[in-house]
Amino acid sequence: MILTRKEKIDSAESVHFFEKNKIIFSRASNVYIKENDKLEKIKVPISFYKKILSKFRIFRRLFRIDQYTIKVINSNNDLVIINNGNVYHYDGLKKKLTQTLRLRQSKQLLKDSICLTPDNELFFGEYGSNKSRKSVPIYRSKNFGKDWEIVYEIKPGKIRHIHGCYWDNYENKIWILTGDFKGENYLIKSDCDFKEIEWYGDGSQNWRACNLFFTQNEIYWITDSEFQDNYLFKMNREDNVVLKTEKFPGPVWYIKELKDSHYLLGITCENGPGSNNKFGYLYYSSNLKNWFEVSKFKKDFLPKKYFKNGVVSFSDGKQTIDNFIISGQGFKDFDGVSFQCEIQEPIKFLKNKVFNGKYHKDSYQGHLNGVSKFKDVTENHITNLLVKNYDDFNQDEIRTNEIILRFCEIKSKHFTASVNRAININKPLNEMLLLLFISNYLQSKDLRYLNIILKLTDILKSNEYNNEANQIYFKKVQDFIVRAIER
Amino acid sequence: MRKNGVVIFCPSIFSLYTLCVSKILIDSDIKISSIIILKLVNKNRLKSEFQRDGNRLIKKIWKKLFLREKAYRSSENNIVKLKHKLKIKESNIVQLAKNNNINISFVNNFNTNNIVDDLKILKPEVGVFTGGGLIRKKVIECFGVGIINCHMGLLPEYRGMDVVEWPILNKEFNQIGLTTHLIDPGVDTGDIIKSKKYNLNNNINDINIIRHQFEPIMCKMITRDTQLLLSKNYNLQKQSYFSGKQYYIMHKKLKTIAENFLKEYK
Repeated sequence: MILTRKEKIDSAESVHFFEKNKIIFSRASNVYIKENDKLEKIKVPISFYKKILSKFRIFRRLFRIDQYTIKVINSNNDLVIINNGNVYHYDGLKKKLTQTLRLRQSKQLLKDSICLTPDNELFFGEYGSNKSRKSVPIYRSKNFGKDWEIVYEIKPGKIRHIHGCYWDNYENKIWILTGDFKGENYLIKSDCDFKEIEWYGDGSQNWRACNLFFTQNEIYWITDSEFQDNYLFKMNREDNVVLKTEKFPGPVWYIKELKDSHYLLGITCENGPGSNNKFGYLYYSSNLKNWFEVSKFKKDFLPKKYFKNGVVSFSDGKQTIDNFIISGQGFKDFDGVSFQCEIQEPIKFLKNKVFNGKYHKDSYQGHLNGVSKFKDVTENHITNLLVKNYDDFNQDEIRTNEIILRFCEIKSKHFTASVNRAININKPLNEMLLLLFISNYLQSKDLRYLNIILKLTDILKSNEYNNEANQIYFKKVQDFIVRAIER
Repeated sequence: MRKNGVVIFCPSIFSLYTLCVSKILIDSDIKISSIIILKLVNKNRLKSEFQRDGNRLIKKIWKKLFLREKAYRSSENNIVKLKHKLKIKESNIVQLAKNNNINISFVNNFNTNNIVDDLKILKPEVGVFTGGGLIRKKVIECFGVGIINCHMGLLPEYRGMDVVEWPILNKEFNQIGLTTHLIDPGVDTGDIIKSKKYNLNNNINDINIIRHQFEPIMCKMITRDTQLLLSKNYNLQKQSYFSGKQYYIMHKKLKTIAENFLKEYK
């Protein structure tokens, strides 16, 4: 799958909510609500010296000034904003920000870690370093975040902190995820009053998670451990049997479920044996089983300990595979910025982006005789091969296809000139042929087509398709297909 | 009635493969009527090989013309070891031909009318192809039985180029091997004489080692099967066009993946 950054979100250091025409983002000491091109600014209180420092991104990172947790409560744009250890309620109608709580142990929470139930109850837990392992409170608000109560407290010494609280639509329960060290990692399932509490896990790193995916029958999590390799785990809801499946190149902090069963996860770049300390990644899946790396982000040069890890995060709200937002922190060329993105299949991607979807099924011409030489190939031959299923090729079509492949392989060094000299077709031949090979590869998985695709994309990106956008597209196609075969 | 023995097609005067094949044939009392050698300095050949191989042609020239025997590691079982075993003192095919009274001719390519005319006079039974490009039908037809080639892949499945790398990339580790076959106008589509599968050893983590190990085996196979052809003691297996695939030079990114697959193979 191929990720395209469609648009940079202006001034957005981190986007917290995106749905249709509403976007809520933060930058320095401000939170912004942009709806239908109308921009509303919420000034979050900050000390004078921090206000000065917050002018510079490097200090915002160093002093964690950019760290916000924001929950949209309703369509009035009532918000819960957590920043610098303070919990605020923002009244969207009165445009008024009120501090409602001071956190005991934490300066900040993970993004999107506040749970909003269908009954409009809000829950979150403290996410501090808690060195003395004091009890860790879970807060509840029954009035849209105006007042908070401690609904449950996890006993002293049991855990370090809470990664997040999440609502499970299938069981109507809240899941609380804890961490970080040996014996401190659990998944806790509870009702809203914390009367029926179930603890899952043995406290090991296998149970250290920041987020969960919920399905009808299973709970999925990807571990967030810098100490050991990170895996996808799934737990059957009925018998609680846990299966360890795919391995990932680092800890996962943030995930996103998009509409129509598309899933994303961001792999954080941290220090430690469980993480790739140079890169962060974005992974995609359509079924929670098979995951594909869709993008790789290089960590910038600033030390992680002081200037934060490389983190890819998402925003709350209903989003789709062709329109979602990612925010980046600590990566080279992807720090303190957010992009509106889409993910596409490579064939669809190439057709849409590079070749503008020119070839369609209705252009099939019926049976054509096979050819014995490339110079006898006509536009109809290529179009037919393009629109017909690979497995349905007859013997004539197989021969023609092989002759085209052979010619392109032999002439791949001077591809465009050679094919245009050999046959005269009133359409961009190189496009058609490249598409044919991509289509053949995707259908047949025959690596000979991958070979010619790699050769042609090498040639085309340095020739007439020599514009920056196409070079990036071709590189993405190459990266995707090579990664797919490596897997 | 054809009486003359074999004609060898040689890609360069320094070809170790041609040297070893010729020596084995001589030692087996098989008459070599002529060795046709491609000229080293030939603009058209350079151009066409550069078009096909690109930058790797430079590596090839460096290895075959300059490094020659030094390109092989002393520890492995390779063609240099075979050369020593066969007690070949000559450093090139011209010297070997002179010392054994074999007629040689230098050509720009194997498919000229002059070659055809010469072959029509020689009336050879078998041609032994040790490299140097495609052979056209008019040349093939000059041989009583045909021209034998030892292909570095299993036919009919793996035709064409880089067929040691391709089965590894396809993770068909039991599809690495060698095939002797008669040359026809297609690419590795002629009738199959014999094939030999290669037992991939767990310790091998470099594709070049497999290629180096193949070369002495190819010398033995092609000479053994030349004798079979000359003695008319052979069964040919026809190839169906649709039963195999033609492979091409592998892109460097895929080659790296194939190398990694080989390293991971257990």
